[in-house]
Amino acid sequence: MKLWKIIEKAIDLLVELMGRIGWILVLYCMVFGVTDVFLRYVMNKPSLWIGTTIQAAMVLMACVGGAYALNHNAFVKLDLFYANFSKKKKAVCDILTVGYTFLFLYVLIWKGYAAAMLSIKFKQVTPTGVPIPIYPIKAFIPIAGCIVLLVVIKKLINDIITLTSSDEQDKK
Amino acid sequence: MSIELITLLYFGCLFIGLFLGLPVALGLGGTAVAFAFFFEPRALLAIPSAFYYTPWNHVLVTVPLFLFMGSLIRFSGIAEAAYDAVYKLIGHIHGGLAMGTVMVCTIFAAITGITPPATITMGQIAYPSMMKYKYKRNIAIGSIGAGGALGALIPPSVPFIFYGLLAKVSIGGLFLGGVLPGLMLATFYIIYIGVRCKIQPHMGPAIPEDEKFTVGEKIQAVVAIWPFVLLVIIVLGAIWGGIATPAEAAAFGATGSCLINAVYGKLTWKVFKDSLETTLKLSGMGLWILIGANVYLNVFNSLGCQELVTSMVLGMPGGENGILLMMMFIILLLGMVMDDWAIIMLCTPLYIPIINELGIDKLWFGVLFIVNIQIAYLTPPFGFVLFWIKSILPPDVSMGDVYKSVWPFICLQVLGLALVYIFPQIALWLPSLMN
Amino acid sequence: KGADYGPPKKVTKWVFQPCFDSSDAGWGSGLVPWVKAVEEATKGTVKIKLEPAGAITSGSEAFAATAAGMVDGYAGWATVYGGDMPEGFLAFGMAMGANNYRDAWAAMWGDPKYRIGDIIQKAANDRNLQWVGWTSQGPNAAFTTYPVAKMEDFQGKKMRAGGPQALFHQAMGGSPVSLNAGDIYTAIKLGTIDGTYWDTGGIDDMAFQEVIKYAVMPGWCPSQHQEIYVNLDQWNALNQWQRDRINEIFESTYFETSRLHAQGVTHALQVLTEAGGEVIHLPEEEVKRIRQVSIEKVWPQVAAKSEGNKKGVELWTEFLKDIGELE
Ligand code: NA
Ligand code: NA
Repeated sequence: MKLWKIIEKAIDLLVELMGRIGWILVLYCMVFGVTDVFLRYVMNKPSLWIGTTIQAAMVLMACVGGAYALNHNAFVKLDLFYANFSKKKKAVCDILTVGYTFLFLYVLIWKGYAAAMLSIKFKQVTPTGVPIPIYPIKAFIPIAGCIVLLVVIKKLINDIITLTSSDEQDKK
Repeated sequence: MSIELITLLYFGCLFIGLFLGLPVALGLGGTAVAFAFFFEPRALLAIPSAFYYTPWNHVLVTVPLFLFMGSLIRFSGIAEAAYDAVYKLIGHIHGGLAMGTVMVCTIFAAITGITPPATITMGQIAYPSMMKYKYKRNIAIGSIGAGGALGALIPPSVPFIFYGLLAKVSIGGLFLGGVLPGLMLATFYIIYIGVRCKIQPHMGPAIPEDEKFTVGEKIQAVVAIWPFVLLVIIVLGAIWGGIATPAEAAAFGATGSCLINAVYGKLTWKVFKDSLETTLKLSGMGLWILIGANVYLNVFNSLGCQELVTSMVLGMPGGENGILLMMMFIILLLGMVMDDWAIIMLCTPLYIPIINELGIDKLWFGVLFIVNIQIAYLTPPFGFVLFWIKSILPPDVSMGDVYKSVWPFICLQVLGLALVYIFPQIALWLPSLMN
Repeated sequence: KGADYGPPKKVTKWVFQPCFDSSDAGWGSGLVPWVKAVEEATKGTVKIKLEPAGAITSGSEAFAATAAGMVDGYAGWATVYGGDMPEGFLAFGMAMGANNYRDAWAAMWGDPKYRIGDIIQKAANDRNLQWVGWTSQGPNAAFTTYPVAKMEDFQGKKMRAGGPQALFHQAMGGSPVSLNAGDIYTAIKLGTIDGTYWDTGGIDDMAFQEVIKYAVMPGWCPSQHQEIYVNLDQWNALNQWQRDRINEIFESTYFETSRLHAQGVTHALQVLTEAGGEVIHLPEEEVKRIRQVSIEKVWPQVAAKSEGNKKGVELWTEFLKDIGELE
């Protein structure tokens, strides 16, 4: 149990680190969104890279934001029935449906790795006036998938702990 | 296995997962992967592909930026102060705050071309204030959801652009066509809220008789809402003044709210941090749903299910009206699991040849299409506005609460759709002035 | 050629997803005629199903998806896939390069002296693709809210421009703006930008005639092209007879579809004129000046993208000199 607590902490720490990166990405979109308009409207010297990098930032935001949101229980569920379930029943449902999640993440990581390798092989860049490399972003996608997988495993183990724990703790 | 059966199973598996409490994003992605595995393994590459191309979308930048804007003025208390001021002004009207919320959503709709920004911003700002003044959840949630959905209908509108390109209809014409139906729906919502709260005052209570505000206090109140007015001027002005694109205007809004917080001396580290945390959480969640929805669409197409759509439409009895009804019904179904652009990309190429064959006005059909997508977004059990609302509201609000709140507004949307159907002039009058 | 040289018993079914959808001129005037020609030439042993962009994956991802075998074929412009294969820019058309599709064909395949096409085919093969189809869509040009009589009129103007268009507009002293396709219409209407570069035959599809006033001919790229690629494994899975038949229609469909596109260009300009717009034809002298600046400032940037491009740009330069467009 003690070891598990340490592992859990480590996963949380990693996710929080992703979160900090995400914060910077949000601020990047804000600051450079305004900068772009300033350069175009006031200076009449539009940048050819800001718009592209903001879009790249959005992909990275999806990468880091997924794990962050899932770890903070922000993933939206249709809790029509689920909301009224007991803690144990919820744990059972979570375990039943985790197959979907594993399947999705498995393919995201496995095929994401293949897509990243192809992108590196092609040295993919954007076809824009100022080319922005795409392959580092694509390489980050399977890594993001792995981090989300860690969060999912963490939740799954906690569900199993809930199920095997004594009944007195089971409060609605 | 027949395509009908595969499609049925495809939807069925998703619904089972979601009703067992699986997060929407993972349900969409997991179902798609499972079916690709069995029926079309090479489509599995669509998963990382969608993960890359979905967020790589200029319009979506508005989501984190408007979230950040909303969070900043909520966590600093500026939003609450502004709503207090509004309450002094219109608090004597039953349901006034909810009506005001619909109006602000309408303004928001004129700023952005998609639905989430208004929903998430007003969900953050308006909901807590309405709760504070003892409004019932139903009215609060319903007004935010229905108001938010207007974003796609009132120009600028991204769905109209997509439809216009695919159907070869004037985008300017479509934009004008969306104005009256959009304003009509907003008016319906406001009237409904007013009437409902007049009959059942506990739904949206007015200020008690003994607590009236003086003219001086009211003037003070007008002054107190300046941050809101300023934000609207910044964002609206940036777009309609030809200074910025909608995505850039969202960056203006976020920067503006930083500055407003600074002027109030409320830009503390805590406010800043809490806002970033909320923004990233909700953006991450939303992006994953959109990725899941695109994966779901890509696999749907790879399986060849879109042929079913055509055969369903053409197999419908009842002539022109029957076919139109079936088309609308399919949009409603797809609206559960797909984003607006995806529905348009899927349906428009299938529908337009039939629409041309029947000699139906494509502009009118486009307006019906988008009004219908709005409904699809709000109708239980699944819909994108429902997802956003649920994610933005406090955790004690369950999906059941949301369902209970939105149905009167759905009825009004259906009424609006029927009116546009029976009286095409509602959609066609403004565009006809253009020529 | 053995005794079994001929149509196979097995029908090969391909799924194509171009980077555009059915509303694009490239669909009806470029891709569909090519598909028909392939199906006829191979006596129905190759059947092709067309999916619009976004159906299987996004338009920007479709090229890599074809290389990876997620779909069997792709059609698109180097302005979309050029980041995956820079040599595509040689096929797309150079800034102020070939004047028309006949010249372009001569430089690419027709005249053994140049054969720029071989460079592109090699690059495609290196990426597990076979280049199987080509079409000229006519001029890619500036569509503006301001009149243009000479090069200097572009100075300081904010124009939506992607990739090579941006390089050209910069060379003209203008301010290129990168915007999403869906944002262009509104941005011109509201005055956020002063116009856009676009393929001429496609302006009516985008309803640009509602917001712009002038079309500036002959365009920054007088003959803009689109390419069709097939996954190399799928290509190799055909028999020699099928491959020969498809190779044979490369040239005939090029000229057939380029003529169709030319009609589309005429039609689009007519739509513009009827909407109150004006088509400006720049004088010969001015075209020469613009060509000079393009070759000095834009071509080296294309050449710098890869070894193949360096060689290709040399060949293009030689070709233009030989036909007397350059001193
Ligand atoms: Na809108
Ligand atoms: Na729905």
